[in-house]
Amino acid sequence: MGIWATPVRTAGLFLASSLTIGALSDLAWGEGQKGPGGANSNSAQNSDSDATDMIDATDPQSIADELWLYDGVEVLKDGDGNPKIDVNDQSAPFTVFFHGCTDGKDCTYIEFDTWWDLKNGVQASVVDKWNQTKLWGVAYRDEHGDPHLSMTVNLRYGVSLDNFDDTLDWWDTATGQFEDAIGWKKK
Amino acid sequence: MRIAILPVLTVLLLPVSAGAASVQDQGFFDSLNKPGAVDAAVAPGLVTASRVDLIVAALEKAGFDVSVAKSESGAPRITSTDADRPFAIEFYGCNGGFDCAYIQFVSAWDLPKGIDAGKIAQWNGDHVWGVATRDGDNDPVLGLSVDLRGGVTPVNFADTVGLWADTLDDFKGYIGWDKQ
Repeated sequence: MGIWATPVRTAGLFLASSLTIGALSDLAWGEGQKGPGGANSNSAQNSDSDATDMIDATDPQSIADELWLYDGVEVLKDGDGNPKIDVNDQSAPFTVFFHGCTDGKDCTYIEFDTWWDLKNGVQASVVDKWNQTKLWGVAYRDEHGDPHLSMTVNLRYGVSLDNFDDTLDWWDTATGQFEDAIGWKKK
Repeated sequence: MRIAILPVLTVLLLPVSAGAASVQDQGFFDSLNKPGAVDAAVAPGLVTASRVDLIVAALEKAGFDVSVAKSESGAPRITSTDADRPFAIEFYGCNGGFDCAYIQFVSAWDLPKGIDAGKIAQWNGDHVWGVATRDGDNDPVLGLSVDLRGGVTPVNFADTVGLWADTLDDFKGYIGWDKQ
């Protein structure tokens, strides 16, 4: 899962409290079908996306464009040659891994992933309770007992941009709630 | 010792008040498909959690026999009656039982000795799809949440159904269910 490539959160920094995404991106209804208004408008400040605007995982830059509220967004390659996006935002660092790719292209789904470096790690019961009670984000511990949160999203054949923006909101919300669950903000 | 759907996750314990309806009953779908603010601007044809007929159509196209009922809250609940891959779909983010935004596929297995906590944790650390948990009897539960707010293409949702089916099969093998 490439977890070691994920930026580490540092003590004393807090997650941004809100996220309003409105960038328009390439549209794709999937399987050769194009939705209306399919040009890439690159309108990062436009919050009035058309209901038929679509997005998928074939264009990593279009995903990166949707992360415009974060600082330090970089489109890179992972060790397998697949795209990845590092978000080196001090308050909310995470990585977006691309999966289901063919020769590093035409990826079909993405995985948000981040982790926290805690002095004493996190109890397994905290991670278990999260997974039992939360809809968004899968929690797990690494070999050091440190907590990770990941969220996989299927983008094959396309989802509406409104849907993807809502997913980004949930990732933002989940990471904030997870920080509470692991006691990060109490440090 | 066959499967028990949704025995554990507290967020999923939604008693069913209405009997399962025939999926051919358009009147029943009409009673469920009442989009509100969530769906107001979603293009026709996209799959959302308030377009239950489109979700059922995708499941049936994938080969699942399903039934649909309403929970006491009024939210829909879909159950796969597939003998090999029974599961349920719960609806979330609803407004008075309608206009739902999210769904969760979920299934559970009744094992004679339950499952080790470490094995569940390892699944979550190693696998991209599906979140594994244990219920109060230490039996394994698998879930997959899908955000449908704003709509996804029918082919995307069909692909997600396929991913869920594949993940179910992988998880059954992982927990040794096929050896029962």
